[in-house]
Amino acid sequence: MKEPAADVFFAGIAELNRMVREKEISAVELTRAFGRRLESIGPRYNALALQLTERAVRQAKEVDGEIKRGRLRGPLQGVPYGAKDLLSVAGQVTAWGARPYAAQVFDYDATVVKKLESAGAPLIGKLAMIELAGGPAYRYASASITGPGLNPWDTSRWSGGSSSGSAIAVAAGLAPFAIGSETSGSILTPAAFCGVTALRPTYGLVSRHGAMPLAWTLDKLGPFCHSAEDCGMVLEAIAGGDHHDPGSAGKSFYYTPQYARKLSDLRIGFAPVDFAEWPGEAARPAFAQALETVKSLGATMVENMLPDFPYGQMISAIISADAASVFQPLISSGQVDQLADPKQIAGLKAGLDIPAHVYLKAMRIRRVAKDAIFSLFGDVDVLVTPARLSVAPKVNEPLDQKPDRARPKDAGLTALIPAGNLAGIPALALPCGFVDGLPVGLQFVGPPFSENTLLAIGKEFQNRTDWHKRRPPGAG
Amino acid sequence: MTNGKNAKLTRRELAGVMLAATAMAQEAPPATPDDELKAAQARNQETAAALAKAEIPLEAEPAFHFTV
Repeated sequence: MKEPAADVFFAGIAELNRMVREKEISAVELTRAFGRRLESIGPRYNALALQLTERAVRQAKEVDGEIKRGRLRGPLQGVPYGAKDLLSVAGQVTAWGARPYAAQVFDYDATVVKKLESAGAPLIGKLAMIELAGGPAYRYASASITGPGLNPWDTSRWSGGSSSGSAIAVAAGLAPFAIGSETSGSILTPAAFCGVTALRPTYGLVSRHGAMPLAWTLDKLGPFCHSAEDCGMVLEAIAGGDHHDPGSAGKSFYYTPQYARKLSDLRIGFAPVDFAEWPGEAARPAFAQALETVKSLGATMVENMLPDFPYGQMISAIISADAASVFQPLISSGQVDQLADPKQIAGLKAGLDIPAHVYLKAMRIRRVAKDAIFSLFGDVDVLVTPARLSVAPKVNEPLDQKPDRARPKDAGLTALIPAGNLAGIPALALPCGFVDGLPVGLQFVGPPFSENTLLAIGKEFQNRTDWHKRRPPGAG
Repeated sequence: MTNGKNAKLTRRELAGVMLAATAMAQEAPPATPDDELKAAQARNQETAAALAKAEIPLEAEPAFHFTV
């Protein structure tokens, strides 16, 4: 079969869907093409956990039949995708990136997998991840049964985690979109390091049923895509109430860019120190230019900072205690020692000894912190800060080594990853420049259920820049 | 710590929390599994001590009901 032009592998969802609807390419051909690409190139980056092309082709055949009969389901119909290997697919191995679960098989599909099937999107593969989504902590990029996620922009660099394969697959054109998860940074970090657009939805907007739990009050699922617009389309398909998820907000999401508020009516909060002092010297010009682009959008820019709370300690205590509870059978059985990362093994074991009063203190401070963070949004509609302050680290270097320079006095908004996750609020990460050939990104964060506002800002930012259209070397 | 104004932690102490939970403790890698476990326990104790310092109103209940 003739391989489609390279442009197809980096096309947006609407364009791929148009091609299928107008029969320029069948859903089966498109699915097979992406499946071959994922199978042949995915292992180069350690991105692939499990190939599911044949299953996907069966789905694609149904899509072609439906289109022939004039049944159109929406923009994802016929557009293949990949899913982080923490999502269950009935009858298939779901290893959670971890050796002790290498033979684990569930007999049901995760809700997001079901929803995407209903939308007509064939699932071409499970994507690699950091073992147990990072658990309480890990030291090395190699903390995965599939090895370290290698960055498509430079394979000597890490992809970021824990949704490693999801970010790699989109960056390298192995899947038009992918689903990942975030407990604290696992969507935003790999999106920033791999130069893709990704959305961390409001807590409860997307059902976690069928997803590996790590921390019940923090876990969220979200899309990795080529653009903010694509994220909106995927979110519309996967959002919605689900009685199988106790954390479900019971809300749907409709991507409505046509009804977005005018950007000139918005107020965007930022901290100058985040752009001028926190990034390393080499990254500052890229972030400064990105901030200028944000300012050019026409919103009112307001200097802002996060209220003082021990965000890092709070989220550490909550994740450690939750993870120890989730994985207590693994720890008690001794199988925890089969994990790849020594820090993760020790962190899980130590988590069993976290006193209840410490966990409860973290959750009580969280309550107060959440209210304080929400009050920020009385003054601004959105906050913006670098998604990560640096480019991707080298793949073999410890991820917990001390920074080699003094930190600025003012924290600005730099704690927005743990703070935003603790508050359950949405974030959009998008690429905003390159430093030495590696991408850097911004995060836009808003109050609960402000996804349409974030996506509107992201869409306009991407109308004015082309960072999201760049392709890694050798990717076609 | 209502509105964060009475926090005893300095901004500098708080500033390092940009890193995700995956990379919050920064130290030289311990040599053995026992050392690794002790290091993890020490990190948890440091976390507990930091949280204990934070003052919050008596009426602040845990954020269990988390529908936002």
